[in-house]
Amino acid sequence: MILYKNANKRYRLGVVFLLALFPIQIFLNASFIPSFAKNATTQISKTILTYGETMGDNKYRKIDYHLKPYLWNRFLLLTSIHFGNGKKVDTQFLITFWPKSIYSIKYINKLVDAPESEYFDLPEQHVLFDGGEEIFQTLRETPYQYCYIQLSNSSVQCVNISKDKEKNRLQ
Amino acid sequence: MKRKQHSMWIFNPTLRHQLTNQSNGKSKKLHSTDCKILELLCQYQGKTVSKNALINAAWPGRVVSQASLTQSIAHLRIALGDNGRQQNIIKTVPRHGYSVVSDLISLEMPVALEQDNLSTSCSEIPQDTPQLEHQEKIGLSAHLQYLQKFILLILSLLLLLSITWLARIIYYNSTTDRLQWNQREYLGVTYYFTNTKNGSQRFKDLRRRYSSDLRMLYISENPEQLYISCVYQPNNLHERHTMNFSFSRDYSIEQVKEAINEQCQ
Repeated sequence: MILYKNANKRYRLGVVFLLALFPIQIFLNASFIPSFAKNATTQISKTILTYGETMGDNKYRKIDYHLKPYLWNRFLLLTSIHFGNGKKVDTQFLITFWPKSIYSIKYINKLVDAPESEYFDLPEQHVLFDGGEEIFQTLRETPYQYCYIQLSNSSVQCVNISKDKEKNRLQ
Repeated sequence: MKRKQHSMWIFNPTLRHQLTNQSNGKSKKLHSTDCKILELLCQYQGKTVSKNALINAAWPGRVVSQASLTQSIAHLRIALGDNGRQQNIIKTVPRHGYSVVSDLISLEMPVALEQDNLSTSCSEIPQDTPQLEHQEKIGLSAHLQYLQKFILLILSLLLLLSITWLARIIYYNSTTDRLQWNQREYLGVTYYFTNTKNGSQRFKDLRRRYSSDLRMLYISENPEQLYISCVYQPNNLHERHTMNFSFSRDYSIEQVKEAINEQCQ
C-alpha cells in the first residue's frame, strides 16, 4: 500500500511536470507560424509558367490557397488550381510550420486519376503523386510575399499574400 | 471464586484477521470500530480508558451514543471468549470506562505503522455505519477513483502527443539541411541564388538590364529544370507581384532572360 502510494505520487508528479511543458510547447508552436497564417482572411496565390521541351509549349497555372487552422502549428491548405485551358482542380494539403524557416506539406487528396495531372511540373507531381511529406525552406517572408524552395528538388517559388479583398500594398 | 485461566491472545490491528488465539492458532476478524477500541485498550493495558476516549478513537468526529460503545465492548468480549458477567479480560470501570487485564493480550504492530500513528490499521468496515450509507460512500469513492484514473489517462495521452510533437520538432530542426543563399544587386535588381558554383554561374548568366518593374529574382536549378521566381512592381502601382517560372534544359539562357523580361512587368 505504501509502495503503491509512493508510485502513484511519482506518477502524479510526472504528469504535473509534463503539464508544465504544455504552455511552453504552445508558445513554441505559435512562434513558428508566419504572421499571415494567423489571419483567417489571408488569401494566398501564385502563378506558374512552365516552359516545356519545345518552344511555345507553355503551361500556365494560377493557384489559390486558403489556410485553415488544424492543430497548433499545423494548417489545412485548401487549394484551387486554375489551369490555362480553363479547367480547375480543388485539393487539400496539410502544412506544418517548423522552426528556423522550415515547413512541410503533406497531401490529403490524391490526384492520381485527375486528367489535369499532365499540367503539373515535376516538383508538383512529386508532392501530389508520390505522397509522403515534402520539406520547404523559407527564403523571404513579408506580409505580402512569401518565397520558398522545395528542398528535395531545389525548385524556388514565391506566393502573393493578401488580406481578404485588399490588394497587396507596398510594404 | 476461582479465576478461570484464559489463553493468551495476539492482537495485530494491521492483519485481516487481527485477533489470534495463541493456544489453538485460530484467528478472528474484528470490525473496524471494535478493532480501534481494542487497540486503544491494549495500548493502556491494566489502566482504565475513558468512554469518551474510546468513542473518539472508534468514531472520530462523529456523535454516537454510549450504547454503540457498549455494543462494541460486548462484541470484543465474545471474540475474546469473555463476557460481561465474568469480565476476565475486559473489565468495566463503572461510570468511567473500560480496561484490559495486563498480559492477556499481546499487541503486535509493525514499527513503520507505529510511526505513522496507526494510520492504516483497523481499516475494516465500521460496525455501526448503516449499510446503505456505507455502500454509497464506497460507490462515490470508486467513482472518484475512476474519474481520477480517467483524467490521468487523458492527460497522459495528451502528454504523449505533446512529447511526440516536440520530438518531431527537434527531429525536423536537426535533420533538415538548409540551403545557403547568396544575394547580389545588379542594375536595380536583387538576385538570390544558392551558395554554390552553379548558383554563382546562373547569377552571372542571368544578370542583365531587365524591365524597370523587376525588383528581385530568385534562381535555383536541378538537373532537369531551371526555376526562377521574380518579384516585380509595376511603375504605376504601389503593389508587388510575383511570377514563377519553370524552364526545361532545352531553353537557352537568352530565351530564359527574354521570358523573364516579358512576364515580370
